[in-house]
Amino acid sequence: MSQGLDNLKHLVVLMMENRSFDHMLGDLKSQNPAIDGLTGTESNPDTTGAQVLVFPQADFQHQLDPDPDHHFPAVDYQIFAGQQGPNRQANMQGFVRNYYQQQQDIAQSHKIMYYFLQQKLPVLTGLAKQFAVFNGWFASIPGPTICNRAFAHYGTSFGQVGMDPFYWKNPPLSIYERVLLAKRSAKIYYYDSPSSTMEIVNLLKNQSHIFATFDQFLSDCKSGELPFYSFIEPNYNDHDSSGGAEPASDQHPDHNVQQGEIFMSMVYNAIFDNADLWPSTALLIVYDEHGGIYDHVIPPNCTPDGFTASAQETGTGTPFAFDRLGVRVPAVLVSPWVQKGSVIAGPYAQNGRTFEHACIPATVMKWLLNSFDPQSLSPSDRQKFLSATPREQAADTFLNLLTDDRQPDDDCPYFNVQ
Amino acid sequence: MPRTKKIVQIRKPAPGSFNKHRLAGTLLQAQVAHLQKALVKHHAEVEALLAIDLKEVRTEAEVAEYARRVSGLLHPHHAQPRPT
Repeated sequence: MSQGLDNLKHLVVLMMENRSFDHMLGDLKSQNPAIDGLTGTESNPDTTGAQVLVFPQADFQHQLDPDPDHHFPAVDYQIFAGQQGPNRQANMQGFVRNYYQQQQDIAQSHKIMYYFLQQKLPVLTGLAKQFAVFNGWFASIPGPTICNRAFAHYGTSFGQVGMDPFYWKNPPLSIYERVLLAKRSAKIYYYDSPSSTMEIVNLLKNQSHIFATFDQFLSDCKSGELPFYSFIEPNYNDHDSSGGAEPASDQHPDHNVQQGEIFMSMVYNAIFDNADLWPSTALLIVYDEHGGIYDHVIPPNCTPDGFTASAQETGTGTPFAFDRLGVRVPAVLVSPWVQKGSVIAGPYAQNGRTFEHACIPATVMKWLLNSFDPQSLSPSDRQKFLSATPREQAADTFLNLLTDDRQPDDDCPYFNVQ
Repeated sequence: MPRTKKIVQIRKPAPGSFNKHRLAGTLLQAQVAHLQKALVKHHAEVEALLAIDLKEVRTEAEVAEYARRVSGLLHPHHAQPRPT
C-alpha cells in the first residue's frame, strides 16, 4: 500500500447535479492537452442542418432555461442523434436538435454547446489542476438523477432508468449498510431539512440514522470526527431559513453555478482547515449526470448489472440491459497524496480507465476489505456484505491514485469568498 | 489562518440569482413525491401505535419497546437500537 492509502481514514464523496465534463472542464485542454476536453472544433447539427460549434460562453445562470431534457429517451437521442435499430452507432450528434424540441427556438438550442472558461470556475478547475481529474468518468445510466445516484449508493439502480423510487427488498445492501456491518461509520450529509435528500424511499425511510445535515459535516471536520465514509448532498432548492436566503448549490440548471462553486469550496476548506484531517482524507467531487448538456466522448459499454428495463420503461421502444454508460461528467479526486496535476486517461486512450458511479461503492468496499475480514460476520450478514452486483464487482477503483508523496500544504489552494 | 498562501478568491452570485418562486423542475417534483410515499410507512406506524391498548404494555421491556417505536418517529436520528 502507498503511504497515502496507509494514512487514509476518511473518504468523502460530494455529488453535484447535471453538468457535463466538456461544459465544466472542457476548457482545461487549452492549458493541458492531456485533459480530454474541447479543441473548439467539436460541433452538432441544428435543425436547419447548420453545424453549431462549441462556444466558451457558458454563464452561471439564466442560460439553460428550460432545463435541458435528460430523461432516458432524450439522452438516447443526444447520444445516437435519433438513429434506431441494432446497428446504430453512437456519435454525440443529437444534443442541439434534442434541446430544440423543448422550445422550437434555434438560438436557444445552440446554448447546449456552451462551455465555461476555466477562470469562471476557479474552484472546480483549480482542484482539477492541483489534484487528479478523470478523463473517463461517466454517468452510470444514460438517464436522470435518481437512477444515477442509486449507483453511487448500491452499485445498481435495480432496473430503474427514471425517477421512480425503489422498493427493492433484497441485497445488494447500500454501501452505508455494508460499512456499518463492518463496524465502521458512514453518513449521508444533506444540506438542511428544506433541501432534504434525494435518497428518500430506501435510505431516509429505512435508515434515517445514517443521515446528518451539512452543518454537522462542518462540525465533524472541525472536531476530526468525520466518518469512515461520507456522502454529501448540496442544497437542491432556493429557500429561506432563520439565517436568511439559502440559495441552491447543486448547479442543476437553472441554479447558479457560482453558488455550487462556493459549496465545493466550503467542503474542501473544511477538510483542509483541519491539519490532522487533511492528510487522512480523500475527497471525490463528481456529478450525477450530464443534464442534457453536450459532451464529445462516446459513452463506452459496461458490464450489465443483471437487470433489464423494458421498452415501455425506457420510453424508446427498445429495452435497456444496463450494458452501456451515460454521458461523461466531471470528476476530481482531491488529496495531498495525489500527484499534482494528475490526469487519469479515459477508456479510449492506451491503458485508459473507465469510471462510473458504481466505482464509488466498489472503492469503499476495496478499502474496507483492507482492514476488515468478512469471516467475522455471521453467514447471513457475510452474504449480504458481499452482495455486490456484477457491475460493482467489475468497477474500477480510485484509491490507487494516492501515492507515497505528499503535496506540501502551502502549495494547496484555499478558497475565499469575496 | 490557512496553512497556504495560495488563496483563491471566488465571487458570490450576482443579486437576483436567488428565486424561491422559480417553478420546481422534474427532480424536485420527484423528490416531493418520494417524500410523500415515505410517509406511508410512518402513517401505518402511527396507526399501529395508537391501536395498542396501553394496559397491555406492562413490563419494562414492553414499555421500552413502545418508547423506542414512538421515539423513532419523533426523533429518528437518536432512537435506533444500540449496536450489539
